Amino acid sequence: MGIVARWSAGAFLPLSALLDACSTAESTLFSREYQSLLGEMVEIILPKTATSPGAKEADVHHFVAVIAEECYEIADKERLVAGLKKLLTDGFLQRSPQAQYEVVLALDQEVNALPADTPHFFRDLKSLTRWGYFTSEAGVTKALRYNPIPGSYKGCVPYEPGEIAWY
Amino acid sequence: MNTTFDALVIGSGISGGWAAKTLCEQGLKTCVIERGREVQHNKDYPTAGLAPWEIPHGGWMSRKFREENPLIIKAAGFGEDTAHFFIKDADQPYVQEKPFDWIRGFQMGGKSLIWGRACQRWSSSEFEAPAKYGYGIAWPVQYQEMAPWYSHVEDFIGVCGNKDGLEAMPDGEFLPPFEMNCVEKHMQQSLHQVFPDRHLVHGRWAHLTEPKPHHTALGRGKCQSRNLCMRGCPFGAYFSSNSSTLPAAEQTGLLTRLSDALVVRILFNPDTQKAAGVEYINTSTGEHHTLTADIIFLNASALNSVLLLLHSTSERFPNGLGNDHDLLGRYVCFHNYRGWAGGRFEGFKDTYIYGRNPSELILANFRNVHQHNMPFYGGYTIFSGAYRPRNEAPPEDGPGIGAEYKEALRVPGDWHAYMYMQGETIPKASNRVYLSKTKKDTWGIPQLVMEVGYDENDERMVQDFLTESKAMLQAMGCVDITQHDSRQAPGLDIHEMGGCRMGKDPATSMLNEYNQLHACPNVFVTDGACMTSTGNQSPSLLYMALTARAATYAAQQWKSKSL
Repeated sequence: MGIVARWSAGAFLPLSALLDACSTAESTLFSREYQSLLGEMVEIILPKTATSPGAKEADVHHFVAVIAEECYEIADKERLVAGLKKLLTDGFLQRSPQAQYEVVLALDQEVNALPADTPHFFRDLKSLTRWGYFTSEAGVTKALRYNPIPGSYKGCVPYEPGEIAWY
Repeated sequence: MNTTFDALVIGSGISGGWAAKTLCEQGLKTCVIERGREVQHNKDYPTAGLAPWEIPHGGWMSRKFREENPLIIKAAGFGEDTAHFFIKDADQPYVQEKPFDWIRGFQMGGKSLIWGRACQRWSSSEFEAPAKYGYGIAWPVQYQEMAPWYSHVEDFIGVCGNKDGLEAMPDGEFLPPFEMNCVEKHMQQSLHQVFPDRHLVHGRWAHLTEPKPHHTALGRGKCQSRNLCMRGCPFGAYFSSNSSTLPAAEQTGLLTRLSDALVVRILFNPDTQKAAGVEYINTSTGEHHTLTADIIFLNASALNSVLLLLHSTSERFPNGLGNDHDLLGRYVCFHNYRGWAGGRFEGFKDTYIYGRNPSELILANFRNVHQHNMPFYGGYTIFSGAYRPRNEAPPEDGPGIGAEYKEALRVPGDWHAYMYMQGETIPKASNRVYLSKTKKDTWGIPQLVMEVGYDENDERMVQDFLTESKAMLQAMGCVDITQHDSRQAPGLDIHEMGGCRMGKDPATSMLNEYNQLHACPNVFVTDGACMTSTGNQSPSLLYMALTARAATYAAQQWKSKSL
């Protein structure tokens, strides 16, 4: 089901949360169709590169569904679902990779032209993608520097351009 | 279980833990009574070691939780990884006659698990100003009396900081401070050049940067700079009752820990004219029980202590234990946290950090220090710092998606600075809490009604902070300065205080200089309820110092059979 990594803290989760997760398997964003779409889109936003895994490998498409279904206000979730649904009915999944990229780029440019406080499903999706990626195991351990127990705090460390940020 | 003790301590948080430790170390058989569940140090920190990807919703609470708990989710530090150390809204309903966000944590250790850990000593100005400038009554203790107790507490809990020689923030017994980053050093120097009487310095924090032998003897270790404190620290590196005072008390063999026990009244004995003990409810079974003792310390957290006293009525005290002059529940105050400011630096790109700093800088109060020359009374501390978050912008002229965008997000961005205020508020009789005549909680105890609000003094202080913080950030070279007044309700500061204030005169105060109820001398109140004024600096260190002093006095009185 792809939820193993996120649910490994089951020891402290209330049982109701685990039951909620199972019961949402049939809900829209967890369905195979939307997970396929989200998988392609998050990978286009934050793709695999030579030096770090992509968002799909980091299971970000599942994180998007978890947050949107369980945490988002209903109106925000519905706006996200509506935006994704239109992409599906417009045949996104049948397009070539280049065509898919163009669609996502157009959405990003559409958002950039809007005032920051105008709701748009793609703004939310991109935000969730960044958040999900940079808190995922793959993202944190391979795309960032991470030390779970730093041992100390050093305030003035020389920085060379291009050095990877700490989580 | 034994039901007779030498001393009872109601509450196990910051001050309750200290009462238990001090009384036990003085030889008194002591029972600490905690309304919440047991939390054993380290064993009961279920989230302490979780990696970021192991937090199911990335730290956000579910929609359902938020709908059911609109209050507690507002608390600083509250999140999916710390929620189990805060109450749920329904755990203790209360009435807001005026808006008041009452933040509580009911478990062994109380809010000492989730506190902010700031430990500045009050200046003599803070003790003296309210009476001197007519906005409060005189404290029955002054800085000189408290200084050795501050030292006593600092040494035991471990406080890190730098000796700065500032009137507004006296020096103490310090472990080495956390480092300033390069930008913070720049902020300190540039501020001082433009405002020579303003000092941005290391704060004072209850973190073991360099544990001493008595810390390691308790099983506590060096802070690892994870900055995950409110989950509970497996290293015992910040001070909590759970890691420090309760284990110290247990080492005497004289401590009994009683959890899931909600004290509902302090019992008054008219024959002895003293408190006899407490009545509590076992929250697992619903049964009522009684414990008796010679001495009672009330450390249930400010407004819960006031509630308990109000509910402890008798023929002698029809308006609440010790309440002969309608003072109980009045003069409730809080800290003004409404102002926030931030800015961006364009330089310093060649410097970064390692590790996650759990501390902040402090810009010591520079208003009304030993004088009154502002259009408001009191002062405000500013918490501040500089940080370098990851870049969020696409590469120049590049798309906001794709490989180059992702690479751009993997590096640090610009440095930023922030400032937020902690402002003194004026104690007023009209800012009060009292028992509802109609509403009760699940245990049949009357709900507390909050009638506490801001005043014109608070508004003027916020304006001054907004003006000055902007000027100071500009002096430091910040651009893109933003500010806001959160207009948050009182209480969200989690520094609610008063309601059972200390003072010299029983006609205008509830407690004497040793935190004893004037009218019932074997009851000591040493949590936030006792505060005669708020000062501008954080209160917990003073709660601990007052507690250590009062408990030492109580033990001496007990041993000489005076109590």
